[in-house]
Amino acid sequence: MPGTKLDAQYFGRASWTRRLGCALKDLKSDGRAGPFVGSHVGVIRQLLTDPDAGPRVVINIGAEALLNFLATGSYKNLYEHPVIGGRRREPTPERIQVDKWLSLPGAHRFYFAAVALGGAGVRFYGEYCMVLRPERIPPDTRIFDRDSYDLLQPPLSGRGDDAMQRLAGCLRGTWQADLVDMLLMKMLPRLPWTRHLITSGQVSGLVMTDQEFVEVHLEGPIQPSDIEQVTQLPDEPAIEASITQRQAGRQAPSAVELLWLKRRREVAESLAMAKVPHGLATQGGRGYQWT
Amino acid sequence: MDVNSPPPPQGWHVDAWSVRDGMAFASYRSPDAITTATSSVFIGVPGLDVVPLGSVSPALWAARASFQDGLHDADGRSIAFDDLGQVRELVRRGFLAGGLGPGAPETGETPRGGPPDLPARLDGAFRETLLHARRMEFPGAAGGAAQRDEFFRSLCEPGTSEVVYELVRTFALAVVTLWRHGAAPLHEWPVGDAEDLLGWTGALFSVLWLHPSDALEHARRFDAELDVHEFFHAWRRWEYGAAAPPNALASAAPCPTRAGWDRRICRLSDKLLVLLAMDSALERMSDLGDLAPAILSSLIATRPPISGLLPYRDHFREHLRVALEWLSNQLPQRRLPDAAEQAIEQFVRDRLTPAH
Repeated sequence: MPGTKLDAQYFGRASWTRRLGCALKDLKSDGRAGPFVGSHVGVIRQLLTDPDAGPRVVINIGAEALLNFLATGSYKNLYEHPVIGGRRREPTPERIQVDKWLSLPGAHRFYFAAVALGGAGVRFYGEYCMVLRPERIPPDTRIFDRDSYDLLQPPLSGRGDDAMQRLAGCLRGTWQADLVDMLLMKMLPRLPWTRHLITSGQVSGLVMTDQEFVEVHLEGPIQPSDIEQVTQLPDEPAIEASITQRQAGRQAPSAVELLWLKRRREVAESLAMAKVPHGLATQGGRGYQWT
Repeated sequence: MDVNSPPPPQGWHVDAWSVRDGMAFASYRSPDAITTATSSVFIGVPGLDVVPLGSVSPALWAARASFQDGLHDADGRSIAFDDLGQVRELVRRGFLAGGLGPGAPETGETPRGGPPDLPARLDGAFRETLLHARRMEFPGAAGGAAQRDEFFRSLCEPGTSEVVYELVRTFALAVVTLWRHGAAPLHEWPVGDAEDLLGWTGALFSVLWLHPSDALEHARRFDAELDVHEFFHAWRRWEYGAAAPPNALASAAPCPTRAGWDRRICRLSDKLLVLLAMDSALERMSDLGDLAPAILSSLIATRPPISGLLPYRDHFREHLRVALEWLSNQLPQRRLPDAAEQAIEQFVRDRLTPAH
C-alpha cells in the first residue's frame, strides 16, 4: 500500500509539545477525552519526570555478551564481525536505508537502546536488562518514537526517499525536550478516559509493551560504570529452579540447560565482583517494577 | 540478476543470531531480501521454543545490538534451511559450541590443576585396558540416530561394559587428581569452585566408587595423590545430601590428555561439547578411550540422586545405559546444510585456539 495516508497530527512536523497540545485540545473539544484527561496527563507527567524512579535507558543483553562486556569494558556491536559463518557480501540494504532516513551523523558511533519505566526490557534481545545511569544520557540524545525498522514495514513504507526522510524526521526528538510529550502522544489512544485514574503500573506498561518502545540513539561507547543496575524478569530464576528441581528428581537436564545454568552462575559472580546491583523486576501489585 | 533466471527459492533464513547466547531470529523468505519474509520467529535457550513474531523489525534491531547479522556461507550468501527444526538444531549446536574454550576473558573459566597429561601409571592402565576392547567402528552421521543408538547399546553389553568401566574409572581418578594437583587447600578456593569439586567427587561415589576406601585403594594402585580428609568430606556430603548437584559442564574440571589427543582441549567439558556440536566428531574418534571423557561427563550429568543403590560394578551397566541414552540425545540430531555444518566446524576450531 504505497504512501498510505497517515494521521496528520501524530505524523506532523510540529514539535512534540505542540502536537500533544493540539491532540489534547481536539480530544476535549469533541468530547472523547472525558473528565479524567487532565488528571491522567498530570499523573503521567509526574511519573515520567521523577528523577529517582522516572524513565531510564535500557539495553538487553545475553549472558555471554554481558560477561564479555564486564570483562573487557567495551560493549560491542557485533554486526560488522560475524562470530560464525562467512561475511555478508555487503551491509544489509535495510540498515543502510534506515540509517540514511534517520540521518545519523556517523551511524557506527551510535548504540541503540530503549526507554523503560521499570521492567526488564525486551527479552528477545537478552535475558539481562542493563539500566543505564540517568547522568550517562546527554539531554540532546536522540530518541525515535518506535523501532526505526518499522519504517520498512507498511503502512510507513512505500514512500519516496525524501518523503521517508521527512517522515523519520517527524518521529524523532531529543531526550530532555521531547521524551515526556512523545510518550504521552503514544499513550493517548490507550488511556482509560472516562472511568478511573491511571495507575503507575499501567503507565509502565504503556512506556514499553512487548517489543514496542521508544528507541534511543546513544552516542559514544558504553562502559560498565554506566550501568545503574541489571534487572531480570522472575521467569528466568523460575526456569532455573524448575531445571534444578527436575535434576533432584532424577531427570537429567539437557546439555543446553547445563550450559545455561553455568552461564547464569558466572554472570551472578561477575556482577557481584563488579559491584553492579542485580535484581528482579518484581510484580509489586502494579506490574513489573525495579527493585 | 538475469531477468530470465527463476527467483531464488524461499526457505528459512537466519536474520540475526547471538550464537554464544543461544538466541536467533529467523524468517521464511528469499535469501537476499529480509523484507520478503512471510513468517518470522524467535528461538532461544534454554527451551528453544519457537516464538512467532509479527514482523522482522525485532530481528533487524537485534543486529544493531549484540547479534550477528544472519548466517552466510563463504561467498557471503545467506544459508537456507529446510524447516524450523533445522534452525533450532543450528541454534542449539551453536550455543553448545560457544561453551567451548576459555570463553569470556577473565571469567575464571580455566581448568584448575597441574600438567595436562594423563599421569604415566594411569596412562599405562588406560592403554592396557584398551587392549581388551574390541575394535570399534564409530557410527558416522549418515547412519542416523538408529545406528548411533545401536552403537551405544553395544557399549553396555557384557564384555564391553567392563572395559568401559575400567576406562572411565581410571580417567575419573586422573581428573580428580589433576583437579587438586598443586592447588591451595580447598577452604582457600572460591566457594563455587570448591562446591564443583566436592559435588563432582560426591557424584563419582554414585556411579564409580563404592566407598572412600574403595576410591583410595584405587588411587593407591596408581600412586595418585588424593587428600584423604577432603575425600571423606566429599563422601559425607554426598551421603547426607549436602552436596550441590554437580554441573557436568563445570569449567574447572580439567581434561587430562593422551598421546594423539587434541592438546587444545584442556577442560573435560570441551571434550563433551565438541562431540555435541559437530556432526562428524563421533565418527572421527580413534578408540573407546577417546570416548571415555564424554562418558564420564554423561555419568555425572545423569548420576542418581542420593539413594540406597549400590554404586558398584554390577550396577555400573545400568548407570552406563542411562548415561549413554542421555549422551545420544544430546548429540547432533539433524544434519544441517553443508555450509552450516562447515560454519559450525570452523567455529569449534576457532573456539579452541589460544587466541580465544
